[in-house]
Amino acid sequence: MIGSFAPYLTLIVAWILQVMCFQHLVFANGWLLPTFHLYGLLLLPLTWSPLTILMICGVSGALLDLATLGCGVFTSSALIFGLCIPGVNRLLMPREGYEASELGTLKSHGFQWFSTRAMLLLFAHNIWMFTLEAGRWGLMVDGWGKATTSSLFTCGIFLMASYITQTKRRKR
Amino acid sequence: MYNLWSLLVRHHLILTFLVCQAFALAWFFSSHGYPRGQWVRASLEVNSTWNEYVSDMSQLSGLAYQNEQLLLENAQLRSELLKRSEFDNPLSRESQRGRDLVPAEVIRSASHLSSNYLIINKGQADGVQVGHGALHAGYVVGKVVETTPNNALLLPLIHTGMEWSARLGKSGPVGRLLWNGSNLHKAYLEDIPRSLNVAPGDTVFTSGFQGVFPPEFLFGFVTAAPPELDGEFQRIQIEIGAPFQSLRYIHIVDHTSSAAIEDLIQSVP
Repeated sequence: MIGSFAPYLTLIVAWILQVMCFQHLVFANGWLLPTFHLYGLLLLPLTWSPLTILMICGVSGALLDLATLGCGVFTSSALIFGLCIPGVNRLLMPREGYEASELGTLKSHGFQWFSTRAMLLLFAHNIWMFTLEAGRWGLMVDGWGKATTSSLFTCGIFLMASYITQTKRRKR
Repeated sequence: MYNLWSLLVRHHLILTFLVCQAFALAWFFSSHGYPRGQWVRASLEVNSTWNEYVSDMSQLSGLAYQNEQLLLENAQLRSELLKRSEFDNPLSRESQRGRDLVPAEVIRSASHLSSNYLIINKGQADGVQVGHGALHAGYVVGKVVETTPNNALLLPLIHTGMEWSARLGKSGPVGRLLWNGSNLHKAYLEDIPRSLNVAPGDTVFTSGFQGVFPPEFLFGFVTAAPPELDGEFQRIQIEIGAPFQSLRYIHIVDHTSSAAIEDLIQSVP
């Protein structure tokens, strides 16, 4: 019963944690900026329709903008994230394909698959977000640097969260 | 018609993305880099309690209390000083206007963006209005752009979309002060005549022309970096005085123009 609600629960908890906690944890003058709300979006079922995923990402980003005075920057970036998810899933798909309602967790797919997928999606999200936020050519190079370091930082947080919440690796 | 429909169905994902993205970008660009409007006021109201809690968590409670007491006393003294200096100035038409400083605590701030902001724990109920200026230890901090009954949103000096009217020295030329988004401690003073000799350490004050701050409050000091020449003008690097990364207590000052002055400005063709 809880299993079927797990993606929604993760989505909501990650979003709340971003608003209440992670948005305040900005380190190194913005070079390490966590975007933990994406953890819930990352763990949506792999076989859901791309349109559903895109809409959930858009709504999640819009709500975050409303809660954190983001002015549309999180909505726009979350839409990029949602658009990239099906493509990245196809790129990393195992030979036998995905099972119905399978989640993209560390436990079910292993460290390499999970971290590669998280980094690709986080990088796409952060590049767009920091470029948009920079707003001028002179600041974009810095912005791309921040996108890279923030993606690595957030990926590390995702891995920690996964190790804490997903204890045992399933045998395939 | 059928072909068009099948084309839309086939590319429904990218079309949905483009429509949603257009809305998101319209939202972003229409805000001109800073949040404003009804939803901002609602968000400030909803988040203020939690923001204050997070802000307080980072401080030792006893130290915070002592700071607040000092801040209140400081605000009273500065108010008295400001009134006295205006009274002494025979040219000041505003000497009759009692001008008080409102002490406030920064409960949330962003200094890592190009469009940074501050949120304070004082709002309309405390007399804070849109257009008021913010100071920290006599240094310029920013300007109030949105208020709710209990909170206010400020745009600081370190916002790439803002321009400030600044004077070099107490009687020097007036120029535009801008922040370029690259260094938290450096800003640039533009439109200063090339013929003027500028030395490191020279002070940069508010001009008082912008209707946000009274004249002669400090922006910062000229750095040792050589000025950049641009035609008949020079661009001077300034060390910003206000410590934005550690900013916690500020004062809000009312220097907004009177209705009569606003009418005069509006009448300019």
